[in-house]
Amino acid sequence: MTILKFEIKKMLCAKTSIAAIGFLILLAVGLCIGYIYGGYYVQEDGSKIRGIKAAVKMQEAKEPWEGMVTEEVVARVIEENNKLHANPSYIGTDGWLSDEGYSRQQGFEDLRNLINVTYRKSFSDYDYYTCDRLSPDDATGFYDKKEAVFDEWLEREEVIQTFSDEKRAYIREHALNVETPYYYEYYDGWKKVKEMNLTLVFGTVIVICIVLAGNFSAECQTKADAIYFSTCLGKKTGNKMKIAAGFILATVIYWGTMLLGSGILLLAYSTSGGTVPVQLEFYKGLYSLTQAQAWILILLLGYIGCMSMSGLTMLMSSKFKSSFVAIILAFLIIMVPAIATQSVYNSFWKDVLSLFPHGTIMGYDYLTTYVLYQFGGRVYSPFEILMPLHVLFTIVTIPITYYSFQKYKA
Amino acid sequence: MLEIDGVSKKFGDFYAVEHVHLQLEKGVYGLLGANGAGKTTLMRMICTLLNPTEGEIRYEGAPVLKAGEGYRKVLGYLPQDFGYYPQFSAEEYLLYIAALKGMKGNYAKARTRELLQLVSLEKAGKKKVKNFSGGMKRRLGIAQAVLNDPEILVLDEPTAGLDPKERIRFRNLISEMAEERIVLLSTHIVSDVENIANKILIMKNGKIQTAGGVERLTGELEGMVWKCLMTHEEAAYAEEHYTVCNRKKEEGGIMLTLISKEKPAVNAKVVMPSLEDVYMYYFGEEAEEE
Repeated sequence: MTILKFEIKKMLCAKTSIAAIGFLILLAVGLCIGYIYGGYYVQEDGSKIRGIKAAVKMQEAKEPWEGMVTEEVVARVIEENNKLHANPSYIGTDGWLSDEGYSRQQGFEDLRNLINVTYRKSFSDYDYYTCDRLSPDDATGFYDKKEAVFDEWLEREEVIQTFSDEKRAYIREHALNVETPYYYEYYDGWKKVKEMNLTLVFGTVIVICIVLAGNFSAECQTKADAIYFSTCLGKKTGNKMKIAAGFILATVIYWGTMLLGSGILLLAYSTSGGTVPVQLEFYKGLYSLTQAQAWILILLLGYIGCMSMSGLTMLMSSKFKSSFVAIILAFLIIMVPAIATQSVYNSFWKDVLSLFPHGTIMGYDYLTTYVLYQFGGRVYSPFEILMPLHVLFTIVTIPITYYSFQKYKA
Repeated sequence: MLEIDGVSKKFGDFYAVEHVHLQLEKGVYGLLGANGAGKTTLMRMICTLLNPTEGEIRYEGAPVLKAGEGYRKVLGYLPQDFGYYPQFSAEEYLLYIAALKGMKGNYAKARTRELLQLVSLEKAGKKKVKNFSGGMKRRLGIAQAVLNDPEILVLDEPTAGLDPKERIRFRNLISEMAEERIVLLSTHIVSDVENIANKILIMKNGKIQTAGGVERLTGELEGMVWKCLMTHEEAAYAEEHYTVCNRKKEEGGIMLTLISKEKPAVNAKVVMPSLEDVYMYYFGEEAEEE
């Protein structure tokens, strides 16, 4: 345990680590502040307020709409919306809803958006004013409309060319596999933590790579390797403790950062809405998860990716004996496939590139897009592929790192 | 006993250490040689940091590479380039090394305190090593080397970069610690080993040229070390044709101490050879280049 303690201290107390972790804390707090003050609430007089007060007001405004989103509730939303848009005192000089009018709409804005996406003619159409053209009677068969829209989209030429028969069947099965009616309550906090996670996970993985880059190479760079390897336990127990220290430190940094960022946002926005289904937010989504479950899944995928990059960084530190090389290579391994994925149009190569570690950072995107893998006749979600793949990769790096450093001649 | 049995280390076609045979028992051994003689390579092989290309190193009859942890448990090593962790304090550094040496909690703490006192660093125990002077770092280095009370203590150029006062202090420290263990101390500073080593090993071009106590080694040069007062021109000639151990400007000319089998000048007087003279005899050209 003493060796473990000092191995952690060696990595933590390096100047680059202190700077990197300091940056990460600032990033987490800065993102939170950005998200808290990025949201706003329109008051009855049309003025906007931001920050935590806005979040509290918004929650109060959305509270009356909490509960199961039945056809009656949908009808009520359409009715309220119509009343608002028919009231001249809420229409601005441009003919659209004024800020005072919007202040009365924001309470059912989430449900209004759900109605807009449900009643669109096809996936490529989104009209913010769809709800304005409906009547309460249109609420009948609300949940049946999804199937028709999906079937129309799945038969399009471009979709047939993009997705195999098996993938289209998978999409249809999972997108329509949703428990109805939806449950709804104010869930802004969960919305924001999910959105924030993409940037935060990315930043955390980079920082972890910086912190771990010196785990093995520092022995060589400080010329302490001769004494280290001449001791009784240096070659075996010492190496094992280095690897353990790396993973422990990465785990603490990752979960510490995620809990800090998510904790601040959920404190500001409240934890309400954890049981709201993700498909209420992402109409096309494939995953029957609640907001809280989706958040945990994104974090878990990010954590596994983080472990994978930790293993890889330590391996490079052990192999190349240079923190600088380890950091640069880690950065390239994350960034090059990520950038290449944007430029590649061939779906096969896109899928291959998304297997790289950056794919584990994209958990939020997977909720909203159709990234799928097919092996033989079976289709898998990225969660089903990336998680075991990167767990396996992490495990494989361990003995390579261990023996690579053990064989090193100081 | 530490046996170095026909050990060689080859890097490509170059022999850094060539067919070294040594048997070391308890006592202080001074490994004397110029830079590049192979001292560090030999010591690294003794410390299992390098594998010999040929031959074997055994301790108490067991090959050290096979013994592994069991051998390194009785080993203490201070390398020439003493690397440390700048963010550690002296106390933390010793506790970390103690843990790597397999020493348990309270014993490690007690030994750390004891050694910090021994090397006169007890007041600097909480200070970061990066803020230490060269002498303090060296003392910390010797402290970590003897933490586990090793049976074999290998010190590679331990006084490099130290001022004369620190060197004497270091020498006394080593002398104190030398009882009941094998101490192998490499240096190219003769005075480091002259007064404390039981046996001197002279290493050149990867080979042990000669070995023995100070008296035996200086005895090899008996009748070959001369002192003579010369003019500038004579001194210039002598420096080209003989190994000059010392040159001192005196009233009447230049007093040279030089090595020669025959009397080099009419007024030359034979003197008692010193270990430094022995060093110059073996390394004269290399020493001039340095």
